[in-house]
Amino acid sequence: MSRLGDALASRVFYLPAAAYLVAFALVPLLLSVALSAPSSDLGSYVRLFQLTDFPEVVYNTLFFSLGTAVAALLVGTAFAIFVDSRRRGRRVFSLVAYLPYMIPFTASALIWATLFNPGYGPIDPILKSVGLPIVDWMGPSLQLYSLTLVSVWTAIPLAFLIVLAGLTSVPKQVKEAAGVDGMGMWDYYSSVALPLAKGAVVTAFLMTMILAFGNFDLPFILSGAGGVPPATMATLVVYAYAEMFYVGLSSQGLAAAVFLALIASIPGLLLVRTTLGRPGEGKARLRVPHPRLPRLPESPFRYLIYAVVALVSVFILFPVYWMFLVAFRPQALDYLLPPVIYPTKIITGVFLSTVRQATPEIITTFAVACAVTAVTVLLAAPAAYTIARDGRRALLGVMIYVFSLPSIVFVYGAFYIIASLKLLNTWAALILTEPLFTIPFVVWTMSNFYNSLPRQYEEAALVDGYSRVRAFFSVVMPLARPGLIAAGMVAFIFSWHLLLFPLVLSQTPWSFGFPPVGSNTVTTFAILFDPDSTGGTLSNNVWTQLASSGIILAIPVIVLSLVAQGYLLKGLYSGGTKG
Amino acid sequence: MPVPDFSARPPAEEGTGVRLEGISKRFGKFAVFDGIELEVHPGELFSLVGPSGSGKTTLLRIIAGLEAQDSGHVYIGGKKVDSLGPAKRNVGMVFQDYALYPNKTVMENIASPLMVKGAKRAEAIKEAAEMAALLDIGETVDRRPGQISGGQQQRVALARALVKKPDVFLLDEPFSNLDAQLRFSSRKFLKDVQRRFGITTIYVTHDQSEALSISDRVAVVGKGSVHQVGTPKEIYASPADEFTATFIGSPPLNVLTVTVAGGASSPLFIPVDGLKDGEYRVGIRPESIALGSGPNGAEVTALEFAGRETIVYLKVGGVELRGVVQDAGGLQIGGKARFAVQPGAVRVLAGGER
Repeated sequence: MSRLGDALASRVFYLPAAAYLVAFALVPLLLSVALSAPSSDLGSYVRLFQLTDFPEVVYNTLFFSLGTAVAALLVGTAFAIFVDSRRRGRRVFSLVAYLPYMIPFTASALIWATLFNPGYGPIDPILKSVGLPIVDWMGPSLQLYSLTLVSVWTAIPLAFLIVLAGLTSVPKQVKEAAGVDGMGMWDYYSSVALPLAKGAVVTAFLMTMILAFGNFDLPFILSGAGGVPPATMATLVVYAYAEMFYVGLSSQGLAAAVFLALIASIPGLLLVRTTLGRPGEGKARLRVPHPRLPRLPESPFRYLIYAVVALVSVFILFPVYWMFLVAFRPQALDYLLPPVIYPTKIITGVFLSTVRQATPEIITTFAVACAVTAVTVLLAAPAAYTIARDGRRALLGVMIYVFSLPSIVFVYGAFYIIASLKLLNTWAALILTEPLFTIPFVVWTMSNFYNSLPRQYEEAALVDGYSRVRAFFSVVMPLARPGLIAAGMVAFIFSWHLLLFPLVLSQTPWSFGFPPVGSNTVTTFAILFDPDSTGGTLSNNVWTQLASSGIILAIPVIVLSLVAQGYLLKGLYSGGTKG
Repeated sequence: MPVPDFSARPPAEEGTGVRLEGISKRFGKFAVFDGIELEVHPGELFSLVGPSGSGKTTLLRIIAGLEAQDSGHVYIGGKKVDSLGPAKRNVGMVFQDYALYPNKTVMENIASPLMVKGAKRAEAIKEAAEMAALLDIGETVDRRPGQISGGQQQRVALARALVKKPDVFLLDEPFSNLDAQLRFSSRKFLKDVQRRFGITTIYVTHDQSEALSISDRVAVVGKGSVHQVGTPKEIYASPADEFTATFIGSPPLNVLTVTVAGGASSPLFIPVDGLKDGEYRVGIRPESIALGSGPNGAEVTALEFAGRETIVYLKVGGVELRGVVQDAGGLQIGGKARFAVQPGAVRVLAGGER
C-alpha cells in the first residue's frame, strides 16, 4: 500500500460514505423537494394548506410526537432513577424497560391492534375486572391517544437507556458524598444527578421526538395499513404516503413530506447542537434552564417512583405476553366472548406453518440485512474514524441531521432512482437504499467508540512508519472489533425493522431464482394480517398468524439486541456529565 | 498558603472515639480483612497507612458506612452504628477526588449538608460562608468546582465535611492529587484545622512520611491486617515486624539474614552484643550505616542524590545495602568503601534468641 498524506488519507476515510449519502440521501431529498412543486408556483403547498383536514393532521402529528417524547421521557426517567438507585434487581428491571425495543415497530403495532380490538381484545375484561369503564380505543375520539400510547410503549427503552447512561456516569464518589451528606433519593436526583445528566435528558427527549415525527409503521398499521387514513388519527407521514402511493397526488404528498421534514428539522438541529457542543470542545451546547426544585418529602417520592415502575412494567410486559400467548394457542380461541387471557392449550402448528409460509420473506430480509450490514460497516467505520481523529465535527453534524429527517421525505426520490435503474422488486433495491438509515446512526455511535480508544497505538504505528490508511486497517480495525461487531448488529436490526422502503420498493415474495427477483420482507408479510386492514390479501383477522409473524419479526432482534445492549447504551450517550 | 486565624472558634470540645471490633470483610472469595481490632481515641489524628491494595480505604469506608462489613462491629462514641447508613453516623468525609458536586457553586457545595439536614437556606448560607472564610476560600464561593484550583477544591471538600460538625472526620488520601509543594503546606493546614476543632480524625494514606509527620498515632495496614499501632516515633524506632520495618522510613530499612557464630557475624560484621549463635533476620536503618571506616569493606554500586543527603548503594558479600551520607565526596560508583554498623542499631526481626 502506498503512503498517503494526512489530508488525503482523511478524505479516503470519509469520501465513500459521503458519496453514498449524496447519491441516496441528497439526490432523493432534492428530487422530493423538486417534485413537490412541479409547476414552480408552490401550488401543491397552497392546496395542501387549504385542505380542511390539514390543521387536524398537523395537530395529530405534533400531539403524537410531543406526547411520545414527554411521556416516554417521564416514564423512562422514573425507570432509570429506579434502576440507578437500586443495588439488586437492576438487570431484571433494565430488561423490562428495554423489552419494547426488541419488538420491531411492525410487530408492536399489530399486537396492539389486537389488544385494542373492541369486544375481543383482552383489555376490556381487565378493565371490567377492576371496575373501570370499557372504552372504544380505536373510536374516532380516542384513536389519536391510543396511537400515542403505543408510540410511548415503543419509545420507553430509548429514553430509559439514554437517561440511565447519564445517571450512571455521575462519578461514584459524588454519589457517595451525597450519601454521607444525608441526601435522600429526591435530594440526590433533583439537585445532583439529573442536573449533571442534563445532556442525556435533552438527548433522550429530542431522540424520541425525532423518531416519533418520522414514525411511519405505527400510524400506518393502526390506521389500517393502506387506503386513506381517517383524519382523526392521520399524521403527516401517513397522509403523505397515502397521497403519494394510494391517491396518486404525488406532489401534494411530497409537499406534506417536505413540510414534515421542516418541522422535524427543529429537534434535529437541536440534537446536532447538543451533540456537537459537548463541553471542552469550545462549542455552545444547548442551554436548558434548570429550575430550583422545592424539597419533596423523601418517602412519597420513593413510592411515586415505585408505583410508576410497577404500573409501567405491567404496561410493557402485557403485550409481549399476549403475543406469545396468541401465537401458540388454537385459532378458535381468538374470537371468544369473553376473551381468554390465560394460557389454556399450547400448540405450535400455526407458528411453524407461518414460518414455512414466510420462508421467502425471511430469506430475503436476512440476506438484505446481512448485505446492508456489510455495506454500512465498510462505509461508516472509516468515516467515523476520521470524525473522531481528525475532528470533522461538521460531518458528524450532517450525519445526525440526516438521521433526524423522516424517511418519508426520501422514499419517493429513492423509488424514482430505483425505478430508473430498473431494480424495483429486487434485493438490490433494498440493499442500495437501506444504508441511508444505518450509515448515519452507525457513524455517530462508532465515532463515540473511537473517541474512547486510546490514540497511542496508532501513534506508535505512525512512528513505526505505517501510513495512516495502513495504520487504520492493521492497527485500529483489530482494536475496534468489538465496536464494529456491535455496530454491525445495530445495522442488522435497523434493516430488519424497516417497513416503508420495502413496502414501496418490493411487490412480490422472492421466487427462489437468481438473480433474485421479488423482495417482500418479513415486515411487509406481517402487515397482511393487520386486523384493521381493509385490503389484506390473506385470510384476514387470524390473530394466531399475526402473533406468529410478530414473533418471527422479533426473534432475531431479541437475540441481537441482548448482545448489543451495552453498545447502544455507550454509543448514544457517552459521558456528558463532566463540567 | 496563609494559615487562617482560628481564634474566632470556640475552644475544641471533647471528641468522639471510634472502635472497631472483629471487622471482617470479603469480596467474593477474597478475604480483605479477618477480625480487625482498632481503637481511635477521642480528638486524635489517627492514620491508616499501608501500600495500595492493603484494604485501608475499605476500612475507612466501613467506618463511614459506605461499605458493610461481613462481621464485627463499628462503634462511634461508644454507640454501635452497624445498622446506620452513612448519613446517620454523623461523619464528615473528604474523598480522594473530592467528589464536589460539579453543578453547584462552592457555596452550595458547602451548604449542602446543612440544607439536607433541614436548615433554612439563609442560615445554611451564613454558616457555609463562615466556614469558607475560615478555610481561606471566601473569595471562591460563587464559582463552580471546575473553575477553582486543585488546592482550593480540596479546601472546599474539607469545608463541606466540617460544616455539619461531624463527630468523626474521615479523609481518604486527600492530598494525593496535589503537587509536592501544595501537599506539604496542606498537611500543616489540615493538622492546624484538626487541632483547632479537636475533632477525631481518621486519615488514610499510602505515604508513610505523610502519616508519620501529621499523625498522633498510626496504624500500619498490610494485606488486610493491622501490623502495628503506635505513635509515629514508636513505629519508626521499633517496628513490630518485617512488614512494618520495610514499609516505614525512607529510604527503607535494610533487611538481611546474618549468621552469628562465636561473637562474629557474616556476611556482615555487626555489633553482636547479646546475640547467641544462630541465624537472624535483622533490620538496619540506612542512617545507622557509618561510612568511612569500619570492619566491613563494600563496593559502591550506585549513588542517589536526594538533596540534604545522598543515598549510597553498597554491595558486600552478595548483600545489597542502602546507607545515607551527608557528603558523598570521595565516594565513586564502582569504588570501594568501608563502613561500620553503629552499635544499638540492629533490630532483630526474627530468628535466634536474645
